[in-house]
Amino acid sequence: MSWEKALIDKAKEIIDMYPQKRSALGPLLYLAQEKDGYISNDSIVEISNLIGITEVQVKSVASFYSMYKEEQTGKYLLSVCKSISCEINDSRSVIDSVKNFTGLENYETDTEKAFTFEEVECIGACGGAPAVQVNYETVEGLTPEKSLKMCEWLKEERPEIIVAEELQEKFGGVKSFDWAIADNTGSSYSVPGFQNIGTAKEKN
Amino acid sequence: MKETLLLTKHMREFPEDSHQIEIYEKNNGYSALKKVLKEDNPENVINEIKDSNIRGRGGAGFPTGVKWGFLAENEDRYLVINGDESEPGTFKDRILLERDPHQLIEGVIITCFASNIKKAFIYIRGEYAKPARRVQDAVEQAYEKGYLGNNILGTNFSLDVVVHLGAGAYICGEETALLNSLEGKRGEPRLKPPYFPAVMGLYNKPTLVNNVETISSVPWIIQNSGKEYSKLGVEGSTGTRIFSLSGHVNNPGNFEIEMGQSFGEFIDTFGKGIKNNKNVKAYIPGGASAPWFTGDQLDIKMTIDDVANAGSMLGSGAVVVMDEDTNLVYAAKSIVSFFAHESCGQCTPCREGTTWLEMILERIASGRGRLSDISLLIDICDNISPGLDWPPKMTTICPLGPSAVSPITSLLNNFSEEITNMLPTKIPITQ
Ligand SMILES: Cc1cc2nc3c(=O)[nH]c(=O)nc-3n(C[C@H](O)[C@H](O)[C@H](O)COP(=O)(O)O)c2cc1C
Ligand code: SF4
Ligand code: FES
Repeated sequence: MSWEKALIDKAKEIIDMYPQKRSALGPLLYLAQEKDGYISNDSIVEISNLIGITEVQVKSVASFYSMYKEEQTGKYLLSVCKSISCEINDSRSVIDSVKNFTGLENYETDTEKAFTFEEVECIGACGGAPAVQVNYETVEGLTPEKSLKMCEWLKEERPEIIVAEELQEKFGGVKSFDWAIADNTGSSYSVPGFQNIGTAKEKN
Repeated sequence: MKETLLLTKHMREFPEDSHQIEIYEKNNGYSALKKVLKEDNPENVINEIKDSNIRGRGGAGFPTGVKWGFLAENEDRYLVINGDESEPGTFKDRILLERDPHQLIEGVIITCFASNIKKAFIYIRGEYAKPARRVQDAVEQAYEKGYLGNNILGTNFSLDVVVHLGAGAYICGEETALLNSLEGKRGEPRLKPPYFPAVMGLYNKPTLVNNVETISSVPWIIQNSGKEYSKLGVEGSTGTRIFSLSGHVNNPGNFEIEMGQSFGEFIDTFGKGIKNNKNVKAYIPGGASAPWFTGDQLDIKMTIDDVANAGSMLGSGAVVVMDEDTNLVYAAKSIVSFFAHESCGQCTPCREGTTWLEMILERIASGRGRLSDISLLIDICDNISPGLDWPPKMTTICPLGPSAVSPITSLLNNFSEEITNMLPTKIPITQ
């Protein structure tokens, strides 16, 4: 589906923040992903028109970055860290537990589009290893049991917005550092919750 | 051994809402900026930074004042904050972004004032959703209060700040890859020369690229003077640094200390010792790219130069501790597979080499190793980094390729029996 006017307006606003149009490519790919859960061909066409580069150029950039998905992800993107601090704190058992529950292998999505599972590299939560992100909201200090409970809860409750603090409180353990109070903002879908990005400017 | 809190003081004192502008202002926040604007002498600011002798906290440890001095004249100049933090073991910029975004923003404004820059970008890795929201909110608050935008606090100085998100690519931490990424391109490092973005950077214009922690230190330096800052730590490694401690310690976390104390003391005091009273077999002193030290080398001092002289690097300040039960072949495999995954693919030795190293370690780890695998590993490493020296020589555009060599040389130099124990003792008959 092509983009509606509101989305195009938003895109133009983002483009205006940069000295050169092409710099807005990354943020516009996020808009596309927020809309469809992946980077659709229609979005590629829209973006190439908005920025004035070819569709192949848009694709080439999108395919470089792991957070731009080529296929629709599930409602919950489960990213389990396997880098060194997590690896030596037994992240493999957390990976197995998540794989068992979802029945998914790396980068797979279930047919109901509930979960997508991926093994990822360090997510900056090494002090709370092993760590996981759900739609880019971090949970630290997991165990196989806790991660299983978290998956069950997601499947059962189907929260619209994922809030890191809520997950941490319910299912997490050791943390990398104290997190301060919950601000109750969170992410929806496989796009980090920064819908407001690009809105800061001088108030007229 | 105690912590010295400069960068993490405010967040410690106000654990609940240190990220809010009112709290920051109430505690002297933005007063360094006000001082700088009142004195109206950009040169002085650069001199204070030079006097502080602060060296970049992103990994390379380049003197910040010197870098600022390189910035070429041009009508358009940019500041880009490197918040791509993805080096395994590192989570110190995350705390600065999440818990004290105004400290960073104040640093950004002062830096731009000093170098006559009117546009700055804060590049944050995409996976840092919550830290990015905090910074974005803080930028908006700063605009509302007149710290950003046109005619800041009634002066002639104007500045715009854009928060830009990466999208999952470690290599975008390399400054020229970051600039390409910010230009809407693939995050591929640029061929050098030009060596310094300060001469030719974003859109080929003079650009300062600095790490989050480096710029977060600026308000303190301005408030207390460069000279005061240079008294902290030791010569060559002045000031405090936030070290991220993880692995097999009882109390992992971020700890801000003056440089110059030993790793052993650091691990004992803040990590509260090793889990289950085990011994340290090996530790990584500065992030996954850094060669490992052994449990016998815990008295090395935590300074840029001491660590370099001992054959590794302080890098991103990430200390990862591995106890006596750690399987170091698995550990090396995890690190090598990180670099294989994150290679941007431009250089053949890196793209192919890291993939081969990963596959061979995988083969060894799964019990199907071959006696010839060790020489094969060395041969591939030598192709990426001739001579396997430290600091590494390179056949590649950027240091990522050679970083994948570090865990293998660490393993072979100090723990070779771990790998030979996993190899077959007899030559299998193959069909
Ligand atoms: C492969 C690679 C990854 C890097 N990743 C980061 C990073 O995540 N954050 C960072 O600040 N610097 C990183 N750097 C260092 C930057 O290239 C650059 O030196 C630094 O941002 C400069 O800031 P500083 O002088 O304040 O340290 C990386 C370098 C390389 C070669
Ligand atoms: S060394 Fe690796 S990551 Fe660096 S430019 Fe070459 S291929 Fe890319
Ligand atoms: S190693 Fe897993 S979060 Fe850093």
